[in-house]
Amino acid sequence: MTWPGLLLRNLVRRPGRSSFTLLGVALAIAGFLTLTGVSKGLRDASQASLRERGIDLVVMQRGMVEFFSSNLPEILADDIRRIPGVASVSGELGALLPFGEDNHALVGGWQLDNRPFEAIPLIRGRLPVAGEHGVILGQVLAEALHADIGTTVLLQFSPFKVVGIGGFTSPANSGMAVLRLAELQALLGRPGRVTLFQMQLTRPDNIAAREAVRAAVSALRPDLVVSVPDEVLKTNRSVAMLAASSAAISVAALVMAGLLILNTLVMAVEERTHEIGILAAIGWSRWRIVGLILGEGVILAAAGGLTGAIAGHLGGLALYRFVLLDSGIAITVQLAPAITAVVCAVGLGGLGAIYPAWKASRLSPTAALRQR
Amino acid sequence: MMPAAAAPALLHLERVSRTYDGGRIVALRDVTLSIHLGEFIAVHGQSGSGKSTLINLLSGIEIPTSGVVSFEHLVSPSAAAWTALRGRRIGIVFQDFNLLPTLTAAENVEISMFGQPGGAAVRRGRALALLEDMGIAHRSGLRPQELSGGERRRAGIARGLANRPEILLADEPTSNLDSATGQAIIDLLFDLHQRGHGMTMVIVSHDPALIARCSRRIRLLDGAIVEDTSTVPAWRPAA
Repeated sequence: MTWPGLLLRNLVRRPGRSSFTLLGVALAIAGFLTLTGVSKGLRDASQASLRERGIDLVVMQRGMVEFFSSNLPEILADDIRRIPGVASVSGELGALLPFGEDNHALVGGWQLDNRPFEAIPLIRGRLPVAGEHGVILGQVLAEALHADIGTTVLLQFSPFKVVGIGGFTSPANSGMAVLRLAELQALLGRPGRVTLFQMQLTRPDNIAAREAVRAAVSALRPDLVVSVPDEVLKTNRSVAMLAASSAAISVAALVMAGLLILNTLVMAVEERTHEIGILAAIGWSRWRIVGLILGEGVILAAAGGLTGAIAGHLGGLALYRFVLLDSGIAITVQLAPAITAVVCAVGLGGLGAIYPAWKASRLSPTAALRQR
Repeated sequence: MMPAAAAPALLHLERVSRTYDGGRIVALRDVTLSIHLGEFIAVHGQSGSGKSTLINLLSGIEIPTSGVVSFEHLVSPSAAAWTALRGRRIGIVFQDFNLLPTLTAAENVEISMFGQPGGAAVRRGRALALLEDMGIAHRSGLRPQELSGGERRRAGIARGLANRPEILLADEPTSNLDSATGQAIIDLLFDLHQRGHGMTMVIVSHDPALIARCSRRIRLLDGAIVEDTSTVPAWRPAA
């Protein structure tokens, strides 16, 4: 019998206690990973969406708590366009709107005649023309709505005809609908207003030139924030709050996992006082007894962490498949948080085991042997 | 040839007392005792006379309230030193078996060998050899609750012998056993002593048959030694 074999036997031969603790740790880790996956997925979806459109800079209203609250005049595009180094500017109105009775999806009002949108990757159909109430659906959204070319869908309770299916690669774009900007402005009662401007630069790889454009755009109005695609959601407070909430819940879940292990091992030490007395009586040193309890804690935590990592991944997939499919948010499967979570679980398992291990090592053999 | 009693003591108790409950209960009073290599000692006396306390003090599981316990040249060893001694040089057979319920008979023997030289295969091999010696090798894969009382006792003795101790302390090894099994255990202990080439045995017992066969008999009464006789010379190494 090897040392790990002994630890495993002690756990396996108490299947009830071990499996319930393992499940508790696994649930905490799975929750942690799903939350961080959603949070990261939101950021990744936004970045991928903008990158897919070939955007270099995004201009929004500064200090908005909620992404869609940004409200800028469409004519500001003319001022931006005049700044040296700007190749193209396009306003976009964005909203999360009801589709039919039960679904919601991200809807973009795009200036379809402008350069970034000339090459929408249509897999079927065409771009909508002015006045026809036409809509392009991302492929994932079309599947979720069971819609195709010619289908009429209710958008904000108004009928729109599907004229194109976009073969976007990013989850956000795949899950969204695109209208002509003027039609979405009319639908929302926000004529002449946009949520953001998307810019392409003449020298996008030149950082100095890009920063010069940012400074020039920022100087146009005091309430503007100019971001590269990777920064867009970082400057958004609602996303920051979501990320902070996710982080807080995740940390709470991990701490709960540690406390669960602590509780389990304290109970185990209480329950096994007599056994520990036997071990001390037959010559087991304090450190060996500490090693036994710590080892069991770490194995439980590692097994729970690994189970949780797998469950978190599968849970994320299920959440995406059944809840987030048409939201434009993908669950980003991340190896680093999974490894971090398992390492944290093992660390917390070790921490949770320290007190019971110390308690066990302090037991007097005679007192322990008297207990049953 | 030097008589065993004149040889340096393996264990020595000097005016040792052990009390409980703030001195209201006196388990052992002012006991002075030397135990030498190769002796086969029976400790007997009425219930409550201090026999188990004496065994616990000899193994370092308990610390005396007053007096000095020495193991060879170690005077009043620390708790850690006693633990190390129990791991290598002192074997213990408990009255109520004290086998770990989640481990098999073989694993219960192996567990006392953790920390000693040799890997898992060595531990396994020695455990099975000891169980073979005890006549229960065929029961090595069973857990304590699946063994009979006699088999548990044999497994407990095998565990006590696992690290080839110089002294084996057994607390009432025939208690809770039927007479035939008890006799078999007594024969086994004497056989081990014969084959043990100098292994010292201290057996706490009420069993007259066992007491009569021991080379030295110590009788306790109310925590004090009232009789200490040797009738048969203890085993001693050849000159």
